[in-house]
Amino acid sequence: MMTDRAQGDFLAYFIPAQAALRRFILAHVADLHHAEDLFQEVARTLWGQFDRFDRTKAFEPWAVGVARNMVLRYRRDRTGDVLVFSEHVSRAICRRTDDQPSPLERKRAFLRECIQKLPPQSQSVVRMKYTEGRRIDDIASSIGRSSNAVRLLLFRIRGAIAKCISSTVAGAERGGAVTV
Amino acid sequence: MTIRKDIQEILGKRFDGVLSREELACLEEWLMEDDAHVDALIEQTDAHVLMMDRGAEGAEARPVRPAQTPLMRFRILAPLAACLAIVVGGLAYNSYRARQFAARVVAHIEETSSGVSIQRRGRLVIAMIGTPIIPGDRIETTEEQSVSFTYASEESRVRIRENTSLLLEENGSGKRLFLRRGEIEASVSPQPERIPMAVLTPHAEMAVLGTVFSVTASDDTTGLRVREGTVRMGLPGGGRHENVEEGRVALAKRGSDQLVMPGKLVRTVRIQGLPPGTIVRGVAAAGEDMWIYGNHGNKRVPILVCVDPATGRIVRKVTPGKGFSPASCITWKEGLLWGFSRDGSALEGIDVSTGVIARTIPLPVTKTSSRRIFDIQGNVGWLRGTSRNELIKIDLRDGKALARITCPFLIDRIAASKTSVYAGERGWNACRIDPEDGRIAYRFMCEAESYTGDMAIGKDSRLWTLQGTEPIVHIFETE
Repeated sequence: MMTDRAQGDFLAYFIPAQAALRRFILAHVADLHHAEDLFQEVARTLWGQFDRFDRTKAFEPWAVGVARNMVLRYRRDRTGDVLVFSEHVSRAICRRTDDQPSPLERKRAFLRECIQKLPPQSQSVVRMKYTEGRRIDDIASSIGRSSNAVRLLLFRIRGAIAKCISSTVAGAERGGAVTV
Repeated sequence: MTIRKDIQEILGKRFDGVLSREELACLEEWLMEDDAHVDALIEQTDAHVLMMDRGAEGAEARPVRPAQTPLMRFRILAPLAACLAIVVGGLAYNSYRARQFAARVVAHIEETSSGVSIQRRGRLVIAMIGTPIIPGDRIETTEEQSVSFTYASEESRVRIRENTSLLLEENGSGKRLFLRRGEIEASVSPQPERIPMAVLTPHAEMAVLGTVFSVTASDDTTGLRVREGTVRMGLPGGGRHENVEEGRVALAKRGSDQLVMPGKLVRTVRIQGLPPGTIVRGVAAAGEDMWIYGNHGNKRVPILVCVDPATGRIVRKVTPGKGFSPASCITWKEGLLWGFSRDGSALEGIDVSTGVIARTIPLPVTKTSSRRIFDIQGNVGWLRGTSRNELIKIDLRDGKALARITCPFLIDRIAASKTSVYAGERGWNACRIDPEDGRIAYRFMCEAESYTGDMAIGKDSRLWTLQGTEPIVHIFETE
């Protein structure tokens, strides 16, 4: 059993690495809920193995290494009832992810301003989905649209956020004025 | 690049967690067409991950900026005013955020094991006493962990048992708990009639207006046990809804369009034509037939009859050559009707066409209780031991005791089929036992009292239970 201090120590390493871990898992597990389940399992495993982590090294590669083993085991043990990408597709996703010019951490800095550039209703949908964790049908009834329309709206929102972040990162790297 | 609308929908479904296998195949095919498609997926994933991670805080409303004042016209005072504005603005913002957060707090952790985690907007929070819970929080426990929380606005309390995943929501539709797996026990204060608390699992929906109950969810079954009050339970897509009342259990199975309510009385069969004063001791199910064993008169003359369960009429009488113990229960196995021998040292099988004992199985136990309570499940026998709460599992091939299970109640009847074992308590209650490890899966209350009567599992998987020693058989629903 870990002490509160050890927990705090773990979280100081874990929290900054969460997004990368989730991204890695989503490259392999197609279903969001199962990906979240696996993310939880990875978090617990990392916690359980935290005393084995060499603190002179970076946490994220170690954590992704643990996640990689768990993804392999997950794929092997649960293919019958879990939607996982085929190995071919997973490899393509990982290869293209590695080729991305800006790491997730760099993109993170621009998320807030990009969300604020969205139309008010889109901001409201983002808040309901990602801040309040509400279900799609719930959001749909709140804004008077169908569930499918909300899914499509979220698809477009994610696309707009991605493009805004990419151009903002590119602008910042060029050192010039940032326009979206 | 323009993405096809069907692919947009599939990607949308992916991030909603409702992707089907066919849609996944379609998505994979599209991804393999072009690297640009993979990039589009990565863009979507990254945006999703970043917003999960940050909880989309940028989407929250911002405090109103302080209005410009005449002071700001003075250059000397301008920096001071700016500093002041920043401090006031910062305080207002923090206060605003705190109010926003407080407004969303629906419950607080009351007790917790060490290391219980809460997923909040994609971040991991460790539960501690007093930790606030906001809508969208998902509480996770692992083995040997438990955690309780109390709602902020009332006395309702929920205890989350080990290996459980529970998501909380609260909005204008009332309190909602999504139990993905595991077990919760809840004591719920009266809720407004039109907005009951809802408990949702992958297989069932429950509406709660104020009661004490527990819910378990596994991969394929949801079980509800009501301790006080009433819970309305139904299947997610509609279908049969039932009010599950105090003491009762209801089950929803994956793939089934019906709820199962163990202990619900299906009908009662009154056996007709037995001699007056007959003490009925045993009931057995042989295909469609119901066999009844008992004795009558001062000399305890044994009586064995086959009854039509639809009418209760005797269709056949057998005179057992030697007869079982007068207090024996009976069961049917491999074409023979089995009961305890008179001295209690063996099980004896009677050929009902002749009434003669055709086979004997010696028991590995030297003593059992005076009431001969048992049942047979394939090559395994289940019998009550000398202690009335002891259940003995024996291998009938070599007579070895496989397990001795101490039940938390006194056993008055046992029924076994190929897949399940039930033990009945005196009176109204019974429980389902896992035949492998002897653990009690759940206890339930029957709608009619059976006192100490024997029971059997019919061909329809229903529980046939004698009402004490009377010629009355209650037929109850089971899994």
